[in-house]
Amino acid sequence: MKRERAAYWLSQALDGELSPRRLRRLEKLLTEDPALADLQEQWLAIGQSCRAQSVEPPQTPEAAWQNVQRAIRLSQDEVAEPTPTAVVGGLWRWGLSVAAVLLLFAGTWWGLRPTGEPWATVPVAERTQVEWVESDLPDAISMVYEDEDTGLTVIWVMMDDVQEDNGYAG
Amino acid sequence: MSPHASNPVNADGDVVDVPRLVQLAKNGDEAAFGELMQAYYTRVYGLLNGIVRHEDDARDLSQHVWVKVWHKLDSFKGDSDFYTWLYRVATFAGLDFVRKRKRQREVELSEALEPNRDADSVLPPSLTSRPDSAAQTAEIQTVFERALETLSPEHRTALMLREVEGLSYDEIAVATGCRRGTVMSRIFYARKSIQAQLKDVR
Repeated sequence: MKRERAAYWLSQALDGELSPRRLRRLEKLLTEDPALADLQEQWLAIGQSCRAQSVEPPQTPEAAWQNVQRAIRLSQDEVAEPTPTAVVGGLWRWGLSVAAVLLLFAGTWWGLRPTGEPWATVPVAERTQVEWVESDLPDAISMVYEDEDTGLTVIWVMMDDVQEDNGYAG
Repeated sequence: MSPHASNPVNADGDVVDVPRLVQLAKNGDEAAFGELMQAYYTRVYGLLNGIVRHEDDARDLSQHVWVKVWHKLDSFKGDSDFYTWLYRVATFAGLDFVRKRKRQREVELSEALEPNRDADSVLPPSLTSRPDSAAQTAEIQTVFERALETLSPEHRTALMLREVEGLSYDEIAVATGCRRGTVMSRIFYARKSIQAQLKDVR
């Protein structure tokens, strides 16, 4: 087994999170590999140093509670008794929000309003220019237009008695 | 290790009935909240000090956290233990504070490192001078503290929650808002990193 994997298991074992099966394998490895056993000692020492690090707070919990209580009351007062400036500011914000919503509705309605001409909102320049042309084929209708994507001129020949349309590009 | 966070004790040494106090506090009982706060105050302060590595900042931040907990208590639904939720609020506040402080320091450092300035003069003494090495244990402790500081706040938090608070991987995952696998690898990496730095002084 690779040392790195064993170390990973060791870390989990120290935290009590390694499965019993792996724990048995690790215990065997610890007896066989002095370097791994040394690593275990070092990591245990790191844990002890972490716990030794924990410092006492600079004030007692009782004194801290007095401060927190004051801070809570102050924050509640701010919520309960808004200053005149805050009230005016709040009304302004409320009014601006309403105006923004109304504008949004008006814009949406203008864009989606029903019109008689389905292409009314499409600029003239973007419309595909279709030219109906005469054809020598009997009962055929032909049209010519320029395809926007390819830039090719497309000639469509539609026959009344044929299910498929025949398109030619040139 | 002190009693587990699930069973905190009050000043008289009696185990605190956390669920009852939480319920009372949720109903607006300030005295119950005070009792709850006092039971967990030292732990939360220790956790925050572990994250921010500055006692005054940890004290101010812990007051901020407790005010926040009071206002957010309604959002605690009891899906997890109270202390897991509390540590989550504290951890997020601590990490947020560290990120803001880092940004602030970067701005200050970039201003201080303008041309014609001596870069060494703006570095804290701890980074420019070596300890006198009076005793090896003291040196190990110093190196250990530095090693802790070189860890990212996320790695340090995971290690502290495990080693100091005794939280399980699942509880740390909830408290820090990440996956169990991430917790596992953060703790592993933190141990490896500290051990590598301690190797030179042993």
